[in-house]
Formats: sequence, structure tokens, C-alpha cells
Amino acid sequence: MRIAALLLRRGLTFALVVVASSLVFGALLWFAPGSKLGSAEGASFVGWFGDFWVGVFTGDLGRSYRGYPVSQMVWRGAGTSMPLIGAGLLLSLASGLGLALAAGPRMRGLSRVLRGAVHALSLCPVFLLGYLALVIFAVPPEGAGQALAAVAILAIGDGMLSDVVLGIDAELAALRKRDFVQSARLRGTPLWRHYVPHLALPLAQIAASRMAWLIGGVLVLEMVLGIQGIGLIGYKAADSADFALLVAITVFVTAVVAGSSLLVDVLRVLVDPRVRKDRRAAGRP
Amino acid sequence: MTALLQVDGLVVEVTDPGTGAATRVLHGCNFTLQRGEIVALVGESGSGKTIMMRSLLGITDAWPGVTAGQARVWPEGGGPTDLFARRARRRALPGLRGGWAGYVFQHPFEALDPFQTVGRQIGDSVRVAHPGLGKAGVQAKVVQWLTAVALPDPEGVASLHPHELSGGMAQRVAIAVALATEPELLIADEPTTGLDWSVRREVLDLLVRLQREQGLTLLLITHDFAVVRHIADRVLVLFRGRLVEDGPRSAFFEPGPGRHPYSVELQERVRALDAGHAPPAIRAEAPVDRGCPYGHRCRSRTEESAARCAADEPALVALDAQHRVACHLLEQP
Amino acid sequence: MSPRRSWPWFGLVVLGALLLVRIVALFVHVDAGAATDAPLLGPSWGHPFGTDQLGRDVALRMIESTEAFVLPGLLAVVVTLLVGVPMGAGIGFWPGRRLSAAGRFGLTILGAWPRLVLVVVVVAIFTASVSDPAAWAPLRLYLLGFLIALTFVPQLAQELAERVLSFQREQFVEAARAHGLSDRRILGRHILWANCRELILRQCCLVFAAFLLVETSLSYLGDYGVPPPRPSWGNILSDVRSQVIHVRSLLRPDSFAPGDVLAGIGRAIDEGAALALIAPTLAIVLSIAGLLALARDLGRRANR
Repeated sequence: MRIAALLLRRGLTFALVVVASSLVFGALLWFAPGSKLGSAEGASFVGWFGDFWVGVFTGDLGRSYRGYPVSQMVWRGAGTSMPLIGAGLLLSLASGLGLALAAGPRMRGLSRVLRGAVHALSLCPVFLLGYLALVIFAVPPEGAGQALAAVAILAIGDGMLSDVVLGIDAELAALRKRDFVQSARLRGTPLWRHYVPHLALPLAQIAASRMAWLIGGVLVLEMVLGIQGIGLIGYKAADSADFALLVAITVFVTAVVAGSSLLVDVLRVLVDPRVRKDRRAAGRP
Repeated sequence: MTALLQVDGLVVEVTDPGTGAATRVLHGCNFTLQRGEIVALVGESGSGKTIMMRSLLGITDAWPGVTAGQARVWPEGGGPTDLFARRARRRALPGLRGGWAGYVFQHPFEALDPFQTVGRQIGDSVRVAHPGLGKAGVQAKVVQWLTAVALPDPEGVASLHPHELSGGMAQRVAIAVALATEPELLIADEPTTGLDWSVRREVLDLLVRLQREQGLTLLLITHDFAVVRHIADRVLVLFRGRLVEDGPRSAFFEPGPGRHPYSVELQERVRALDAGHAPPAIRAEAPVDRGCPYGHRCRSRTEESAARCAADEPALVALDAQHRVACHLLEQP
Repeated sequence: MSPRRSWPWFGLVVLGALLLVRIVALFVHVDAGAATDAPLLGPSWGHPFGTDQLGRDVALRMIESTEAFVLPGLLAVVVTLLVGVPMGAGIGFWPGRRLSAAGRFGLTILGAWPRLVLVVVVVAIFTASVSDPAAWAPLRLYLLGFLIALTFVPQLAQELAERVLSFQREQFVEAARAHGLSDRRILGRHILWANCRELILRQCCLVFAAFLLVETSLSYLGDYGVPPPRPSWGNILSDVRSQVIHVRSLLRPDSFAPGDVLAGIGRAIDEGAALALIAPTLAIVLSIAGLLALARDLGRRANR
């Protein structure tokens, strides 16, 4: 019962943030000079707002400036970009975890070099990495090679891998000190049973906090490499003042970012029993 | 009695967080634990009791940790095993099975994984002692252990998570977790701190009973002399990283050849606290370069011994077969 | 774990170099957009980094690029400080007041917002609303700085509030009050300056680095950063993009012997375009690296 209440509350917060952002962005774009949103006869902001949200649920968000159906374009763009983001995230987390766990005494020298390389590469902006990939490696204009390069760049650039590695290092260091981990080491019981649940949440937290930058990175990368994803579509929409499409895209992106932190809360409910069962056994000695 | 653990010249260093320099916290301790005995390790806070045992077992995050000394274990059916061999690799030492030693931590809620049920954690220990046991067998043993630590409704408790337990229950569970690997040595680190008075006695009695039933060696870290009097066979006294006395209980509580002045001071402090008087505050003490480290607090110093106490650090000397003391005043002239 | 060495000097040197170059840029303000020589010249005394494909001196353009981010970046830092520090300090020092509760609520909302999206949208709207985007570019950069600052305010304010709160409970606050020091003095001098300044400075470095990152990215992409012909490290790179194939063909060595590889690199540099590629890349990477190193060192000092 308590879980349901918790999840409901988080879900409502999520809905609130998304709706509020659609209000803010919609208003910004509606009242911006040069906007074609408000140009139709008798159109009002409130009317448009209502139509927009009805459209979100019916799948019909009207047409863009050039006549294409908005919802279709958003969907197509998302279908290209979201897998890239997801794969980049997974690659980043896995690499960070691998690097942190492999820090045994024998690997110290290699680990130092790898970490140095990671931090050096990671501080490069995504556009720079994409650019260098094009120049040095001649990344093909489409296909698996391009996707692979994009995923790797997203996983590393704009400080992503750096943040992940630092975060995991800190969590692991703190975890290693805890008495129940020391107890497991002494007893010879499997350590991963303690590491995995206790690392899952911090990892998810890192991922959610980087989501906004990841989306920014995807936007830039799509432009550099020429990938037809939601970033490129959004940029073109902004360029051609196609605000109907732009609103849909910004609301979608907001939903993704807010949704990722919602997912972290859901994960917390699943993993941490203290959230689920907050009752203390009454006074038994 | 046969020896279980023999420690010689144990030196432990930690890194001072402020300066980054290595500071010695244990200065060459020697002692032996016999099978089946109950030993109390006493000393004021900061004397090094916890770090000594945790460094021996390799479960401390102090760096650099053990820098000198030897520790040998004689496990059941095996020859002496060097505890410090291959510590860096963190693998099971040859000749020593995992879980040969158990540790009951000071804070039970930290010692238990908050994300796992009680049954799971005890079950993990059981599986160390009985590797081939099936699910039903493990569950049965879990219930057995929960009953052994006197918890009512053992099946119910097994499905609870640590945050659902009271302090006393949690400590009992922690004891069960430590004992379920069927260790030969159990170290209990101030197991009753933070528990209600009424519960303390029960937990201690439980430890003693289990020790007798399982026939294991129990080392109890405590600063409570009442506890020492009640259950210890032997007492080790630690003062600022040095073992200053090692003797049978009788030497402490009955008149005899003599006790280290620090042991006397400790007992008096505890008696004063129990009676409700505040003992005099201990001023901050600087490390001592030469002479007896206890010298500046020693009230038993005489004119003759003053010079010696100031110049030489006393070594642990045997007063009789069972009793060793590090004090110039008690040495045979 | 054994303690690690820290390199505060690297970060400080980088920061100093950036500021120095910016000041130099004020004096050498030659119109870097004009072609001064033949295109694609290699390095020489007259043109330390050669010229690009339009004959413009690359070194001059590199120097003048600092105009794009130093002042707007500093503005971002100032805004972060002006908004974040009072909020964080206030919430931390007087946690019970209603204003603090409102502040905390506001920070949570701002923190949950996809702020980067807001930045992009606002910049896009701004660009679309003005008739001559190129002329408004400097103002747009300052607007960008302002928005980036807002994205960092929640982080700074929350960290600062936590830290101030932990100090507010200490005994010396009571003692200071008993001595007659005003709350403001205690907060300002003894808590913020004495104990929190590393934390605050660290956030400043992060804000500046983030701004540099965003500005170069946007300038590379074209319309939302610094529009050509004004230089920015980002748009120097995008200018040179047309030469990339040429550079790559020059770099391709006849064999993989070290001598040939070096010869290939030397040839590419001589042909001019390679430096226009290497220089901005190195500049971006070193600047961000320096700022992040500084931030990391400050973070370590803050946690000691």
C-alpha cells in the first residue's frame, strides 16, 4: 500500500513537471516574435494548449511548418536517438564499473594509465570528439560504424565517463569500508551480493543526473555526424522557426529527463527495503 | 590447552588524516590465545583494541595497517598458518577455511546489510560452513541459529530486514551471522554498547553460553570491568597501543604478586563511574619518546624507580607462569 | 589507499594564460576577419600558426576567440555567485524560516527542470526574434552565460546550504553571538569565507568550464554561437572542416616507419590547414582540463 502511495506521488510530480514545462515552453514559443504558432485566425494560447495535450494522447499533434505530421517526426527522431543514448549510457556505466573493480594491486600501473586516458578524453566536448572521429578515423556517413562511433562518443564526451568513474570510485570506496562488507570478506561469503544492490542506486542516480547533458550531446553529435535523430530535427525546427514541431520536441525531451529521475525513484523502491517496509518491530528485546 | 592464535611483535600503523604521515598505533604486541578460553581485551578508548583485532583478521581499512610482526593460527586439523601471508591478494589462506574466525561488530545495524533479509545473511554464513547443503537444509539451520540466539519466532524473524529489528534483536542476529560459519575464534567488539541495560546482561550470557556449547575461543573487547569479572578467564590490558598486562582473572580481582598500575587505575575508574562519581578527566597526552609510556600518569612511582621509568620502556615480563606485566616496579630486582 | 598528488599549478597556469590572452586580445584587435596573406601558408615568423584557407592569420584568430567566452563566462560565474551564494547561505544558516523552505522548494523545482533544454530553446527564440542575428551575437553570448549560470545555481546552493548548516550548528557560532558579532558577520566572515570558499570557487570553475564547452559547441554548429567571420575556437574548427580530407591525405604516410609518419605530420603542418585544426583542439582541451583540474583540487581542499 505504501509503495503505491509513494509511486503515485512521484508519478504526479513527474506529470506536473512535464505539463508545467509544456506550459512554459509553449508560452515562450507562442509569444515569441516571429512565431507562427499564434498566427492562425482566432487562435488562443489556452486553446492551443488544450489541443496540444489532447494531441499527445491521440497521437495527432498537427502538422509542422513544412507539412509533415509532428508526432510522426518526433517518433522517428526518438527512434533513432533514444537507442543511441541508451547504449551510450550502458557503455559508460559498464566501462566505469569495469575500471573501478579492476583496481587490484597487480593492475595499478595499467589502471592509472587508463584512468588518465579516460579523464583526458572525457573532458573533450562531444562535438570535438565527433569532429576528431571524422578527421582521424573517417567515420562513414551511415550504418553500424557511425552508430558505434556515436555511442562511444556519447559514453565518453562532455565529461560523462569522467563523472561516472569518479562517482563509482567514491561509492565503491565508501562501500568497501562498511562493516557488512568487511563481515562478508571475513566470513568468505559472496561479496557481489552486497555490491550489486548497493551500487545499483548510485549508478542509476548518476545516469539520471547526466541525462540532460546526454541529450544535449546527442543534439550536437547528430549535427556533426549527420544522424537523422531528434536533435537534428529539433535544430532544423528551431532554425526554420517551426515552433509547432519545436514545442513537441522540447516537451518530449523534458519527459525523458524527468522520466529518468522518476525511474530512479522506482528503482529505489524496488531495491531498498527500508522504503517499502517502514515499520519497526515494536519493542521486542 | 592448545594454542589457537599466537601473535608476536604486532606493529600497526595508520595514516594521520591531517598530516598524511604514518602513525604507529600498536607497538609490538605479543600474546597467545588458547583454545576454548574466554579472554577480555580491556583498555580506554583509543588504546587500539579494535584496530588490533581487525588488523589481525584483515578487515580494517587502515593504511598501511600491519607493518611488522607475525601471527600464526593452528586451525582444527592443520599446522600453523601465517595470517599475514598473501594478505594483499585477499584470497583464502591455504589451510584456513573461510569463516574460521567470526567478528561481532560494535554497531549491529552497520554489521548487517540493510538490503538483505536476516535469513539470507545467516544463510550465507551457513553455506560457508556447509557448502553442499540444499535450500531446505540451509533454511533449517538458519532457524536453528535464530533459536540458539534466543529470538522468539525464528521463522518470522528470518524474513525481516535489519531495520525492522530492535537493537537487542539486531545484535543477536549479528551474533548468529558470525557464529553460523562455525568459527573457531569469535571476537566480540564491545557487543553491548548502545544496548539497553536490561538487554546487555542477556547478550553477554548468550555469548558465554554459546561459547561453551560450541567450544570456541571468545575474545571480548570491552572497557567494562564488571563484565571482565563476570566472564573472563584471562585479561589483556592495552594502553596506548602497548600490551601492559596479560594475566588470569584471579590476578585482577584477588590479592597477588601485583598488578600494573594502569589496570588498577582502570578498575578504580569503572568503580567510580558505577558509584556515580565522575572520575578525574584524562588530559590529552602527547606521545612519549623514552621510558614508560604510562609514567606520567603513574601514581605508584617511587624515588628509586623514577629514573628507570623515565629512561627505559618496560618489557612484558612473566611474574609467574600465567601472568605477565610490563612495569619496572613489579620486576624482580 | 595511499593519498594522491594534486596539481593545483596546472589549473592556475591555464586560468592565468586565458586571462592573459584575453588582455592581449584587447590590444591586437586587428580585424581578424580580413585576409592578410595567401591562403594555407605554413608556420612562419609572420604567422606563427600559418593562415587558413581564406588567408587569415590563425594565431590572431585564436587570440581573438577568447573574446567569445572569457567575459560571458565570467558573467556566468558572477551570476552563479550572486544567485547561488545568498540562496545557499540563507537556507543553510536559517533553516527554519519560511523563506528558506520556499527557497528549498524553488531549488528542487529548478533542479528537476531540464535546464539545458531551456537554454537551447531560449537561445533559439532569441535568435529567431531578432532581424540580424549576427549583430546581436555578443548579447546572445551573455544571455547564454546567464542561462548556464542558472543551470548551476541549484547545485551550488544545495551544496553550500548543506555545508553552512553543518557549521551553523557548531559551538563557535554561539560563542561568536555571545561576543556580540552580528549574524551577517558570522555568516560572511567565519563560515563562508573561512570554510566554504573552496566549495564556492570549485563551482565557479565548473560553471566557467561548462560555458566554454557550450560556447565552443554552439559556435561549431554555426548559428547559435559566434557567427563568422568573428572567430571562436569552435568555428575555426568548422571552417577548417572543408580542408579535412586534404589534411588526412597529407597525414597518410608512405609507410609506418616513424620517420615517414613524422614527415607526414610535418608536411601537413607546413600546408597550413593542420595547425588550424590542432591549435583550437588543443586550446579547448587544455582549457577545460585546466579548469577541471582546478575544480578537483579545490574540491579536495574543501573536503579536508
